[in-house]
Amino acid sequence: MIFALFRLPWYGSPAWNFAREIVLGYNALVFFYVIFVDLTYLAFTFIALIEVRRYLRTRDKERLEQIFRSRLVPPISILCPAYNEGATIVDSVRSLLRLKYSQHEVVVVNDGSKDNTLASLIEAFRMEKLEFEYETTVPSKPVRALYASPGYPKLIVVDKENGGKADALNAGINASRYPLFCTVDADAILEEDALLHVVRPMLDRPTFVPITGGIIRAANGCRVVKGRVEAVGLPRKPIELFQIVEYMRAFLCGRTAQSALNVMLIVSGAFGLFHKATAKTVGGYSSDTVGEDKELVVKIVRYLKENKREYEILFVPQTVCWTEVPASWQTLGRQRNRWHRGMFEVLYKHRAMFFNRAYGRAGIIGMPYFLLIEALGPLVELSGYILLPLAALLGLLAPINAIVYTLCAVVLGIILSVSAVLLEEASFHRYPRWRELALLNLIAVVENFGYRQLTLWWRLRGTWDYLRGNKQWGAQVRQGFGTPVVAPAAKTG
Amino acid sequence: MVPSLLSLEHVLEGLEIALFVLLLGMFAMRSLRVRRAEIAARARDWMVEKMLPLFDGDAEQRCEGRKVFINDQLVVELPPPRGLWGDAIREVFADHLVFITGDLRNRFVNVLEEAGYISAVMRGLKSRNVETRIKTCMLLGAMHSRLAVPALIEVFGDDPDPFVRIGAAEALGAIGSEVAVAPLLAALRNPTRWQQVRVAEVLSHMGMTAVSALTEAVEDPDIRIAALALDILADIGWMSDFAPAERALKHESPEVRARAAAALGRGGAMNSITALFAAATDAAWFVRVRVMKALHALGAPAHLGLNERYFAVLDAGLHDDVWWVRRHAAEALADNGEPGRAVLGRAMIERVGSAARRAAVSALQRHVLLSASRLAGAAISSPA
Amino acid sequence: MPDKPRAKPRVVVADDDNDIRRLVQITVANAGCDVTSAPDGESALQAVREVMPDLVILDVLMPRMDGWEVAKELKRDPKTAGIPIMFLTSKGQENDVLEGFEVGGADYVVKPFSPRELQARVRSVLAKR
Repeated sequence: MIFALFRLPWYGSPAWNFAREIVLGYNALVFFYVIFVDLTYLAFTFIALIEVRRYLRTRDKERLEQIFRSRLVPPISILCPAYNEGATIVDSVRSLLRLKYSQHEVVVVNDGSKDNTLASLIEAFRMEKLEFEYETTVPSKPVRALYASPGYPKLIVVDKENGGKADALNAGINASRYPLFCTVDADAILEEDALLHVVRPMLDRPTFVPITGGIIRAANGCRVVKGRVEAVGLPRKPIELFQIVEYMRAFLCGRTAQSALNVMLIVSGAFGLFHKATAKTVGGYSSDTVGEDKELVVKIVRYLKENKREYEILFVPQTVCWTEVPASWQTLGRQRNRWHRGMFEVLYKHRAMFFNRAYGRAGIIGMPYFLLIEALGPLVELSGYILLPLAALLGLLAPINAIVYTLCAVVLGIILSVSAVLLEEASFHRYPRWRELALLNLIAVVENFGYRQLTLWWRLRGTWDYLRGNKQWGAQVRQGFGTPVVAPAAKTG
Repeated sequence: MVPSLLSLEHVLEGLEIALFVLLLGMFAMRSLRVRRAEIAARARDWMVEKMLPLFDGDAEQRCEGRKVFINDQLVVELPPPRGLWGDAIREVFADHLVFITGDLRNRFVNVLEEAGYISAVMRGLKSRNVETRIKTCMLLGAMHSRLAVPALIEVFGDDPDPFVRIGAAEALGAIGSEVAVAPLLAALRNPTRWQQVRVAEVLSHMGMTAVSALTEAVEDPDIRIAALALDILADIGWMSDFAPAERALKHESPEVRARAAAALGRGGAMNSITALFAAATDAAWFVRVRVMKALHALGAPAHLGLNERYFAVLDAGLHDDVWWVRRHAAEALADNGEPGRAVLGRAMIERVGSAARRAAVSALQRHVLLSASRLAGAAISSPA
Repeated sequence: MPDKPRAKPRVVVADDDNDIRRLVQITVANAGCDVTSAPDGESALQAVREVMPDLVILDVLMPRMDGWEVAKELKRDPKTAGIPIMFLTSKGQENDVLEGFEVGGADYVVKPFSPRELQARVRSVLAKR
């Protein structure tokens, strides 16, 4: 090999040749894997394009509003867990109370905050402690008190001891009155008509729809006044810009297509609408995982399949909420690490579903997809990034070959990112200025040189942390919501 | 095993071209869209400006084809109903028709009819695309023109797609044509709840026109229809005859029984209150909940001399096994003056921690809170 | 045109929908009033404090501050507490109507509305003063 930098003494020996075959074979495998993954996403984008266009053609905003003023649509309880949100909680609650819907209530769960969350709510809405009789059907930490306001009959505040997000949501489920509940992060900014759009599939489909979700976008760079996005814009920092394109890929392309194929297994914790009775039957949220939102969805799917019930989990290609994404590399890294750990926990806990005919598409396509493409992706791809140069360096592969491999993968990645921007442009065009379009495209190109690899690295770290945590201690330090809580080891899957 | 370098280079080249085409396409799409939006916005502004004289209710309006005269003065000549301008003009009118009624609506509809906009839209009913047909039905419904009624009836009868048929029914209902009631009721048999809600909404907007047909539908053998008819009647809050709903309280399906109770409550069927008393011991808890709610809505039947029975039924509700029933019974008691609160008072001296006591405490607190807020509101709004 | 009082009554109209706001504005102006319009709750509040009108017409669902909040704010301030408020609500919102009266609304108009009806109601509210 003329390009080889080293000429090692054992070069050309049979063992060497064997090793060479192995490494080259692995490299080819990684290459095909990456191409396969990208083509899958590309197919998703294509399906999503068709779906979104179809959705937009039949959308009719005015009528929707009119219809949903009808008392015949099911009322919704909005569950909003809050931990140390004193600065923003009052504005958030005000905007939640203002949502367009015929009948809804807002249940704020104060998860043992250490700041003035509860006090500011009591003051702003003139809330009073209330004796309130309700049934406890899903487990949660003790509730200290319930508050209601004479001036705001739609609002209930549950004050409970700290127990993490899942626990807070369970307390909210207990205290809520209505047959559907919608989970909302305290810092998420909802679109006014979010409930109208996401509830529609629950009524519109002949099959049972236990869960629906919608598009979540990054709020960074938008002008937000009093819990409402007034003007859409782009942030300055690259880290935030990258995430905007990333969210487009994930929600606009990924979720829309997964929903069309009925293999959806993820509904974001920041916004999701659930059928309460079903969620209660499966025992509500589990406190022993950092991926409680994903876990509940899988649990419900599993329960429905085990009871031979037909269902659809649907994603509405309609922006429902905006969320502030991390603006520092450290926070972002931690977030991705946590998400990835959560995914592994869910996959492990429900491993019985893999390739199990009894679980239908979720078992045959959904779960394997999450394991092979989402969960193991970082491991395979990053190993390729290391092995390919190494192979070239050791003279196993012509460097030009290595470069072309990499370029193919990268250009395909760029096409993928650009298609996501294209999908946005062909459907919602929320970013009206030319400069913004150019910037989004630039970001779509640039994110393939560094940012994507970095997220892969964080997710790999997540994989590692999961494996370590599970085997050695059987318990993990949760960073998800509020203060770290050590989950009891006994409960882990 | 490893793809050859040469073929890979071709692949790479192809990918690059694809990327270039994508980017070019995106920017081309953007320029096209921006341009169309500009034209539409201009057309819209123009129309809005020209429309202002039409708002004056006292002036006399006359149309000749696309020309509109106000007090015999030509105020506007509409562009033909096609192309970007035509679409924009149609949108302006459709947007206004959502929130206006009365004279002004008739005027707008008249302008649209005379200028040929309605017949232009109606062509969409013959489209091959299902979504276009649905959209056209919606648009015609929003435009409120009687010109479209025969075509919509035809679509309702003949269209192969159920979604289009229901769209046509809905449009007929929105136009307010009496002929629509029968098709709409038939459409209630549709499988999805969403469409039922839509039809129901149209029917309840039609109000009195639909009442007698709905009252008949209560005795439909299909329970879904019966239940929905009851729901809609409850929504309208008026029934020509309470007997069908009373009979529905004894229906075999608990769903229907529950809705019947709700309908009687919302409809203010004070004379049916004894039927509700009987239903308060229903086997299904959600029927009992609805009965308690209905009793709450009706209030104590003082003039019928049934007060004692009324409070006894609510007292039993307060001691129900299901908290939801207890809660509604307690709220009904709290809102029913001294005798009601006396029942709650008796529950309060029961064993600490008993379910009835908790429900009573909860309802009384709520009652005190709400009445306090009303007093406060009144104190604020009376000028200082 | 109706017989004009000494000075034209002043009215503030707030609605976030341009078309509705324009129609209400013109209709009320045709009833012989001076109209100031506002696209959201906050600017409505500001306009009321500046103009000190004889009547406020508020849409219920508005960005930044909804109709109820504006009304509560107006009633809290003794200077503006006496100004009658009229709400624009959507059909079928019975609760809205009740809530409207609870916060001290003088009247309400249900969408879709007829401009003639709106004029009549505006006149009757103004006459009560």
